[in-house]
This record gives sequence, structure tokens and C-alpha cells, in this order.
Amino acid sequence: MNRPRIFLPLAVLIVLFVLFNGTFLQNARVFYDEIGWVGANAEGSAADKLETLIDRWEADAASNLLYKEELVELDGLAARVLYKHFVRDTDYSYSVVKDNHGWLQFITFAAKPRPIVQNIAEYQALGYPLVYVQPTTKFIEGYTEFPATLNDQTAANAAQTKELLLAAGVPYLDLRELAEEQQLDKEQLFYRTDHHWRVETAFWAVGQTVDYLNGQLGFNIDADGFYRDIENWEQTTWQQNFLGSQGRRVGRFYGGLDDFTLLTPAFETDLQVVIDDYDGEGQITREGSFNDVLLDWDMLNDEDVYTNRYGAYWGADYPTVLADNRQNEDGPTVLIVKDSYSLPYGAFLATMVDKLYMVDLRYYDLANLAGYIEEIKPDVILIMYS
Amino acid sequence: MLFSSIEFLCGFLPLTLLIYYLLPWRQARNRFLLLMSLGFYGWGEPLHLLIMLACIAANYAFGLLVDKFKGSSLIKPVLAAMLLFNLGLLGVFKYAAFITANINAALGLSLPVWQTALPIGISFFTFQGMSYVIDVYRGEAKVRKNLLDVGLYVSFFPQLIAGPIVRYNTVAEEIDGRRENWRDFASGIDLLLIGLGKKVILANNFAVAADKIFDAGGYEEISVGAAWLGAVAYTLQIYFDFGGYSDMAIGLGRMFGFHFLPNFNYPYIAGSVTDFWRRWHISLSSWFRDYVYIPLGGNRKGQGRMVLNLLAVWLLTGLWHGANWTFVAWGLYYFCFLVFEKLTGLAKILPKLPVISNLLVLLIVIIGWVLFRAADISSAVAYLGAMFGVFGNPAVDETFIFQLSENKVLLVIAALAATPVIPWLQRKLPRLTGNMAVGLLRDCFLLLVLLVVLASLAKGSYNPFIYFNF
Repeated sequence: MNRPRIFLPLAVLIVLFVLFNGTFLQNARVFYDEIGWVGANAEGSAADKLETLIDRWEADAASNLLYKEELVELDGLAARVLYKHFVRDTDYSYSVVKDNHGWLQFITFAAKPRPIVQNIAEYQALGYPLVYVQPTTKFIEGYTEFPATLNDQTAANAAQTKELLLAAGVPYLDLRELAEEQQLDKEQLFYRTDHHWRVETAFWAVGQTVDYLNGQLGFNIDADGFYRDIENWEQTTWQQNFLGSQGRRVGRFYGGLDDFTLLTPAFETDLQVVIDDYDGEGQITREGSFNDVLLDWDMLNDEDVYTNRYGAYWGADYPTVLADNRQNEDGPTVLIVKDSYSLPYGAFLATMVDKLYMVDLRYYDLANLAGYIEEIKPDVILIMYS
Repeated sequence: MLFSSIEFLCGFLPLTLLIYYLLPWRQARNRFLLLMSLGFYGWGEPLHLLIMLACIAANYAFGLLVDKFKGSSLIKPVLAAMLLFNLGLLGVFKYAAFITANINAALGLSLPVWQTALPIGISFFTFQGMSYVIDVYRGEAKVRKNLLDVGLYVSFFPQLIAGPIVRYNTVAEEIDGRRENWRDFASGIDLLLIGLGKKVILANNFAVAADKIFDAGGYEEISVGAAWLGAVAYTLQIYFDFGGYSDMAIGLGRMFGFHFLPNFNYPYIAGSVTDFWRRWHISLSSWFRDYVYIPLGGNRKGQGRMVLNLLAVWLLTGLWHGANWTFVAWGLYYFCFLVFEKLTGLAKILPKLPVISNLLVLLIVIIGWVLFRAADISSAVAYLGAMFGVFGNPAVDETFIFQLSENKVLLVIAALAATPVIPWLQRKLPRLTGNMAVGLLRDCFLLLVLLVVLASLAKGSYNPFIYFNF
């Protein structure tokens, strides 16, 4: 007679009961509170409310699943073993593609130019010098390939924007072309697992921007090139400790980890930073060195690879920020209309100018931008918002 | 609630097992199982729970009446009423809109088309209700005096929403007389994990490919390769989805001491269409055989009558699957092949040519699934046209390349999983059976399957906070 099997049944029961305890019992309050929430907020018949309650319980079960990140990591490993190049996400726009170089990518879908670009004439009419900065892109035409049927629209969208801007006579700085001309190592421009450019690439981009402003618009920023010389910056590299935005959706086993390099001034700095918080009512003010006011060290020192190291510059995206460089009061005032690419970019530029303002149109109402510009009267407006 | 969900695997199942096995008495356990089964159904269908309860109550009453009036002249009206009730329930919720729309189309009328959500599992629990009453009528099982026992039989959560259709006479004695034991529990877990793997790892992935190709339309332009890949993907999806669910249901039943009959037996190795239908959805085909085909006379009243009986069965089988002409066509499609095999004796000849016959049957089955999957007859015809390049379709295209690339490993796994490789190995290498190392390897593999399934479920619900927008 066969021996009774112990290992598998017991192992399965242990797994299920551990998950039961960690997901449901330890979060019993969450599930219980949903009953009150539905009673107070849900509309419709009793049956409708019951369905709402069930939906919310299911969502709570999903979000409170014990070892969820570890399981997502395992799913990423399974996708890798199955040679999947496309990992579908709950939100399709965050589905991850592995390109021909093994980099992780999001698919960029066709989109119209941003409203600020479509209404660029309004901002030209304000009379302040205006430059559109096209950053390098992770999907590189002629270099990056997606699996068949997955069509990325990064280049097409950028071309539409460029066409509009050139037609309007807006100075256009194309960092993609400069990167190609200067034969930058394409492998090193972006993180493998994040949609952002590397900090080093952002530093290079600032140098190109300053060259452009000096050469084309007659500025005199960092005349001797001191601040643009990377030798004057300290580089601290953490090996294999950064799982970027794309990697976080599929786990480290699918696309690996990135090294993360922090660039900090090897020279003295003295800055005052003013940050307007999201609700428009709070304001954070910090004074001190670059390292003290522009870096969130928690994001760098946390050993969890899921920590968003890239966000260490400034700590987050805010509606508006100001970095007042008290060592360069004769320098220009620059406004950057930004997205998250400007986090390290703006931080580096802040060391070269007098005042650096940044406005993030994802959190700041475009309708107020013209008034804001009139208020701060910048010497130049850089739009890097794609 | 789905078996392949976090709330079931990590919530409902552990809770049910824990309390069930803490309860000391059979009756307490049965009542608890009934309560949990009703909760299981109500979780996904709170309003439709009432319909299932009505079905339970009505069939319980019909069972009592059938037992009381057995042998009397009232038995036929009672049976007729039972059929009217159960089929009426199906008719109203599943077929009313289809019937009305077709009457309107045929006669140029404008009758109101009553659209209502279909209660999940209605095709299963009505058939089980009828099975109970008919088995009592035939004397194959004793009538249940307790409504709650009938309720447990009809609503028992493992087989409630997707079968197998459990015939009452196969579990009648187990309602009171089952003896849970560790061996059954362990084998139940095996089946649960195998089923989960089939459903989540295989079926769900093939569903993505099949949906992408079928739902894209434009069959005049897609490549022959893509059309075939979509059809094969759906062929695998439906088998591993349904077969996987049946494995889970049978496994879960076993964990509570019930022994349900197998529902699938490697159908894709069938050597004839007749053989295919002895291996596919066995509980349904046997239900129709025992409750429709044989009562109509089966093959005992001459060839002509046999053909008519088969026609009735296959029309009903097609319709049972859904209220659409595609399902009727699908049922008639198999009717033609089955009659042909019966009349020519091919059903006995084909298995003697294993490879050729298997490939031929697979081709028939795949084409049948295209009919089954298509939105309507014209789409089915167009899709089949693409499969055979009727529109001048290219051989391959980007869709074919991408889907093949993404699924190549899974296709190999599926091919192995759809064939009885393990039983074959066990026969050829009997020393493997009972070998501790092999057993441990098998257990580790199944445990890995569970973890990968949980991982897939976690990913499917995973929406991490993105620190920055773009």
C-alpha cells in the first residue's frame, strides 16, 4: 500500500493559510470598514450596494495580498522563462515591452501635441525668449525595435510637435540629434528598467542646453564651463540597486536591475529652495547646500530596490518650485515647463543660473501659466514637456 | 467567484476547509457546505441567488411528488411540470431574447426583446435539478425528505457554475455516507493544482492570442498563419479552461469527500469524432445520452429513428452552449460527422489508423471551434475562409509572427499537457510509480504551479503607485 502523501498537501495548506491570514485576517478591519463605507456612500438598491461591497472587498483582497511584490517578481520570472516580450498590465498603457536590446519599455500611443505647444503663440506673445527642448527618447529610431504588431509612436508624436513649433518659429533644441552627432553610447542614455533618462544623460543635456542658450540666444551661462565639467561633480554609483518604473511592474527577474549614479557638486553651493505643494496652499522652504536642499536622501539610502532613486532629485514633482542660487545673483532667471525628465536636469541647471523656476503642467493649471510667467519674468523659458 | 481568484484561493477555500473540518457531525458539515455554496454563488450573483434557490425548492418539491405519485397516472403530469419548470427557467433567462429576435426577423414583427443578465451556471444547476428528479423517478436514488440535502446537491460550490454536471445517482449516497480521508484530500489537491495550472497558465494566455486574432476582424486580410494560430489558440484555450475548471471542481469535491466522475479524457487524442465525444465534456454528453437519447429510443428503433434521435440530441447540445445560431450550427456540424461515422462504421475503422485519424479529428474539431467562437455564422465562414487562404490571404504576417513568438513555449507545454504523456510514462516505466524521488519532484512541480498561479493572479491585480507621471 502506498505511503500517504504528506509534503504537497501540507505545503499547499500552509501556503493558502499563510496567505489567508496575511491578506484577510490581518486586514480584517479594512474589510469590515467597507461595510460602513458602502452604507454611507454607495447609491442604488440593496442589491446594488451589495455588489459594490463585493467589488470593494475584491479590490481590497487584491491590494492587501500578502507577498504581492514577491509574487509579481515570480510572475516576471515566469514571463522570462516563457520568452514573453510583452507583459500585459492591469492598465494596458503600463504594459511592458522588452525591446530588441532587452530594455524594458512602455508603448507610446499616438497623441496630439500638448496644449502648451498647440497654443504656443500665446506664450510667444508674452515676449520672453522661449526654447523647446526635445529630450532624448528611450525608443531610438533605427536602434530600438519592438516585437511585431507593437507600434511605438514616440517619434511620430515628437515629429508632430516639432512641425508645429518650427512653423511657429520657436527655437527647437533637439537633443536626440545631438546625441546622434556626438555618438553617445545609446546603451547608456536610459535606464534599462525605467522610462527616464539616466542622471548622467540629464547632466549632458544641461550642458547642451547651456551651449545652445549661450550660442543662439546670447546668454553667458557658466562661461568657463566649470559647472558643465563632470570632473567637478562627485559621482556615487550604487550597483544593481534600482528597479525602475517599468521594472516595478514586472519585477526584477524579468528585466534585471539598474545601477544608479548620483551626481553631486564637488564645489560649494548655497541655495534656497521654495516648493509649492499640490494643494496650492502649502509651501516648503529649504536653505543650504545642493545636497541638503535638492536631494531626498531617504530615496537613496533605502535599500529596497523598488525605491524610486530617480526621484531623489527634488524628491517629487511639484506644481511649482524655485531654486535660488545665492552664489550667482548676476545670473539669468530660467523657467522650465517640465515633466519628470527635468528633475535632475533642473537641479544641475540651478547651479549655473540665478533663479531656476520649474512648473509642472501635470499639477499646475495651464490657464494660470501666462500669469505666472508675467510674475516671475524669466530671462528664458525652456519647455521640456513631452 | 472564480476558483482562480485571490478571494477564493486565499480566502474562501481556507476558511471553508478550516470550519468544515472543525465541525464534528456530518449534518453540520453538510449544512455548512450548503451555506458556503450559497455564499459562493451569491458573491458573484447576489440577485440570481434567488433563482437558484427557487430551482432548488422546486426540484425538491418535484422529487417528493415524483416519489409520491410513482406508478400512478399523475406521474406524467408531474414530470411534465418539472421539465416545464426547469426548461422554462432556462428558456426565459437564456433563450427568450434569441427566440424573440428570430421570430421578429422571420416574420417581420416587432415583439419586445427581453434582455436580462444570464444567471451564471443556470445551464448546470437546472440540469442537476432535473437529474435529481429523474433519478428519483427511475428508482436510481432515494428521494430526499430534507430540502437542505437537495440544496447541497444542486448548489455545491465546486461544480455549481461550470460543472461537471453531477448526476444525482452518482453522489446520492455520499451526501450522508461519505468518509473524508487524507488520501482523497491529497489527490484532490493534486487535481486542484493541475486544474489551476491549466486554467491560469495555459488557458488564460491562449485566450489573449485567440481574442486578439478573432476580435480584430478583417479576416480577408489576416494571414493564413494568423488565422490558424488563432483557431489553435482557441482550441487550446477552451480545453484548458474548461478541462482545468473540471479538474478543479473534481479536486475540490474530493477534498470534501465527494467523488465526481471525470469530465475530460484527453479529447485531443481522439481517433474519431465519436471517440472525441466520449472524451469531451463527458458529463454533458452522458446526460443527453441517458436523459434524451436513450428515452427517445436511442439506436434500438431502426436507423432512421436513430438519426432523428441524434439530431434532437445535437440540436439540444448546440443550444445548451448558448443562444446563437453559431452554437446550433456547431451542434449540427457534429451531428453530421457522428451520423456519418455511425452509418459507415468509420467510428470503428478510424482508430486503427491512429496518426491519420487523430489529425483528421483534430482538423474537424478545430474547425468546429471556429464555428463555436465566432460572433455569428458569417464571421465564422469568413474566418474559415482566411484559414484556407480563400481571400488570397498572405501566408504569414506580423500578427502571426508576434503571437507565435510570444506563445512558442506555451504551445509546447500545451501539446504535452493535452496528451497522456504522464500515464504513458507510468505504464512504460512502472518503477517510477511509487518512487520517492519522482514523487517529490512531482510534488515540487505542482507546488511551483500553485506559486506561479498565485503570481499570475497577483500580477493581474497589480497596479503599483507610480511615483511620477510622464
